[in-house]
This record gives sequence, structure tokens and C-alpha cells, in this order.
Amino acid sequence: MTAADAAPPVRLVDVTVQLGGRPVVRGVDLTVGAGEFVALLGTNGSGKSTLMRAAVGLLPLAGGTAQLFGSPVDRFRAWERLGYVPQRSTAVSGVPSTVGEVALSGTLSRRRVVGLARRDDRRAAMEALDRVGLADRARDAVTELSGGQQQRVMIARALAGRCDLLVMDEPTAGVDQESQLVLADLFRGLVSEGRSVWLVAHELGPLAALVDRAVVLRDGSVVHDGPYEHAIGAPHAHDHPHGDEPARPGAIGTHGAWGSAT
Amino acid sequence: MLELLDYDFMRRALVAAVLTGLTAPAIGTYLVQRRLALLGDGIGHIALTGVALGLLTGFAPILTAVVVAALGAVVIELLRVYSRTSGDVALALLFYGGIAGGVLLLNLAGGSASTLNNYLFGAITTVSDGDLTLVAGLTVLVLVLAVGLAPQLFAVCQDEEHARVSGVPVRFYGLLIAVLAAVTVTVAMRTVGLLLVSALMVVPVATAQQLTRSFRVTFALAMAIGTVAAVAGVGTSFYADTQPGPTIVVLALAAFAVTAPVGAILHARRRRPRGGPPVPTAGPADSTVVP
Repeated sequence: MTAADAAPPVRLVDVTVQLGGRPVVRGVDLTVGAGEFVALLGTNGSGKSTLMRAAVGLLPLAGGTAQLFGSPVDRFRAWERLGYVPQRSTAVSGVPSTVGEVALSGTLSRRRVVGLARRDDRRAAMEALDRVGLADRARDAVTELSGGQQQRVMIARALAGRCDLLVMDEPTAGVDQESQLVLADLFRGLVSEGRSVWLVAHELGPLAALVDRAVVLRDGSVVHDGPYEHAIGAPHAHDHPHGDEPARPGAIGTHGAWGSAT
Repeated sequence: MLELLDYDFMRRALVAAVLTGLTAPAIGTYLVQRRLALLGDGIGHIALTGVALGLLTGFAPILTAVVVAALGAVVIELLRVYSRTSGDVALALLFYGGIAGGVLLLNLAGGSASTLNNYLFGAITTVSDGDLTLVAGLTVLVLVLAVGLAPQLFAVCQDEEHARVSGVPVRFYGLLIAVLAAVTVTVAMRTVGLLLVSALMVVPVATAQQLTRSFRVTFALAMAIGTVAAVAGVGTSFYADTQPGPTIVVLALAAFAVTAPVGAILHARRRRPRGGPPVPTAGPADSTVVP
């Protein structure tokens, strides 16, 4: 880490994002510091994925500034410092590929000579697979894995660049219990190494105990930014009623009744 | 036994078959991975206008076909990227405009039905030395880029969003793949014809992946299958007195038919309960290119 790293990995100031001319994210401030684990929560349509996609440069900003490691995102070039897991259920494409091949493609941001993989890139890919508990599956086709395992392959791909910041769009959606526990271990390890983790989720499950901060969006605005315990009851996006949770008065208290599903 | 090698035109045909058999599945692997298996078919339609322009103006039809097909491929890719809803119809307009315009221009150029037939279904035995040089040059171009840029092309075709966040210029590589597909269509035009080009791009890939688990092996095996089918097709057509283009494609399909049950058994054995058939084969020409 050098002096230039004083800037936080993610710094969003007054960010507004429009989709189809309609503001989906409005004036959001959000910072993810070095070594911090931040969860972005909210109901479906609250704008959390949109915000994350804009933060990594996949969507244009309609207002405000987004910085990654101190550089405006549109001028950010240190892609090897950023690992990204898009929102998707599988890592399967039209042609078979092995778990190792997909993980290795995550080292592309580090390769300087026409994308040629060096021995160190292969080692990084295997290390990343090892961290998600799939090193022994490297030669298997991705299609032979369960949904949760495929999700872990995509996280390994993001980690293979040995990034300082891991950004994930719903990595836990539809993931089995075993994979959730593997991920919890993984994120705990990353944070203890001083790396940052920022994820979008509906529910945190076993990750709840790990997050430093929960940021809750509603209708594109931040309605909570602080400890997760104060956010309980809010982030459930499903339509099924939560008879027990809203009934806990202290849980909603100071931040208002932002738990009501839309 | 190998009396076909006694003929100059057959030797040229075999060389053209090898070049096509290598190139078409190489770029086809990326198209299948991107789920654009029928892109080659659409480009083939557009290339016919290029051929006709060549015949009309006196330029080499392969050259004009490369230019028009590449332009068409760029337009298709831009439509795919920028128009979400109407892209489908726009593609159809482009394809059928290409084939109708091509036939009309051919008529104006005084081309006969057999000229048209040569380009639609291939006429590998009429390949001249000049054609062969051009085809060889284009083949080298496509293969060098398809193999040399494999890491980037793999990343873009596998997951566009992840590739973008890795700093890969995704738009550029999308256009490159489209243009390479257009060049490949032109390379394969003399061998299997514009209407069957897509088959040689897709069927060897579909066949290879019945047996493979990795992208790298699929890529190499598809090229091998494509080459064997093309050479065997030319040989068979010589002895059976059939048209080479369709013979090549039927042989490739036969290889698929043989490997498909093997693939089904392999996949069932390797895979956990989930899953379905891995890839569609080439469908009818009027299917959409964009998934």
C-alpha cells in the first residue's frame, strides 16, 4: 500500500443515475473504506444494483461523482485493483469451459503483453479457486457444478486479479447453505487482509455478523448508513409477509418504517 | 486411389477446403459462445450483395464481398449493442435486403442462374490460383487474430460485463468478432456457399462440445472436425459426383449425429442431476441472430 491509497476504494458523492430517462438513484453518498465490509441492501427496484453498476463504470452518471481509489470512474484504469461479480445466476456460456478457464479470465486485467497468461496468472487463478473451495474442480466443466458453486467460480474469477476491492452484485442470491458459509469465511479473510468488500444483497444470512456497515436504499435514496443491527427488518425484498419482524419495535425506531415491501 | 490429386482443380479445391475447415469453426466457436450462432448466416445473405457488386463492377467478387460483408457485420453488431427492442426486425431487414439486392444486382450484371448457384452453394472446383491466394491471406488473418487474441475474445464472449470491468474494450472486440465472421464467410463462400457458411461455423463446434469440457479443447477439436469434414466432403463429392458444399455440410452433420449420443452419455455421467442439451445445432435461416 502506498501513500496514494489514502483515497478510499469507493467514494460516491451525490450520485444520480437514470435508466430510460427516469432517475433510479438520487443523490447517493456512499464510501467504502480500505478493509471495510459494506452491504448495500434494499427492496427490488430500490436502485441498489443500478448504483453499484454505475460505481464500477457500467452505467453513466447523471449527476454527482464516483471515484475508485481516488480516480473518477471514467478515468479509472487500475482495473486489476477491482474485482467485480455481475448479477447473474450462472457462469455458463454457449461453449463448454472449465472452472479453471473461467477463473483464469479474471487475471486479464493484470496482463500486460497482449493478454498472454503468465505462470503467475495461473497461480493467482488457482489460489482464487482454492479460496472459494473449488481448487479440486479446476478441470471440471462449469456446467457440472451446482448454482452455488458456479457463483463461487465467478467470485474466484473476480479474486484472481488479486484485487484490493471486491464488488459483488447479489453474490448470495439462490446460493446453498454450504456455499454461503464458504463465502462468509472468504470475506472474513479478505477483510482481515485489509481488502474491501462491497456487496448488494437481499438478505445477508450468515454474512450479517461480518458486515461493518449496512447501507439501505429506498426509492434510490439512502435511508440508513450504519451498523447492520439497526437495519434489521428492512432489507427483505420478497413479497411474503414478515409477521414477526416489523413487530419488533426497537428495530425500526429511529430510521423509520422503511421495511415495508413495495 | 488418390486420382483426385491428378487434377489441378482438385488440388486447389482441397487446399481451399483445409483453409475453410480451419477458419470457419475457429470464429464459429466464439459466435456459439456468444450465443450468436446464426450471425454467419445473416452475414452470408449480405455478402451476396457484395458478390453481385463485384460482378457488376468488374472487381474480384471475393474482395467486394469481404468489404460489403464486413460493413454489414459492423451494422449488425451496432444494432445488437444499441437497439434493445427493434434490433431483431432491423436484422431481418438487413438480411433479406442483402439477398434480394444481391440477386437483383446479379441479374443486372448478366449473371446466370448457375453463377448464383455457385455463390449460394459453393463451387470449390472452380477456385482459381488468384482466389486461393486471397483466401489463404484472409485465413491467416482470421486465424492469427482468433488464436492470438483468444484470452480477450474468450472473456468478452463469456461475460461482457465482467470483461468491461476488467478494462477490456468490449465494443472493439465485439466489432472485431463481427468483422472476422464476415471475413470467414467470404473465405468459406467458394467452398460451401453463402447459404451453408453458417453450418461450417457452427456444426463442428456443436460436434466438438459433445465430447469436451474446456473451451481450449473445444476450439481445437472444432477446427480439426471442420478440416476433416471439408477435405472428406471434397473427396466424396469427387467420387460420388455430388456438389461439394452440401456434401461437406452433410458429413459434418453426420459427425454430429454420431457424437451426440456419446455426448449425452458423457454429460449424464459427469454432471450432477441438473442440465439440458448443451447447444443447439444450426437452425433454419429465418431464426433470429440475437438471443
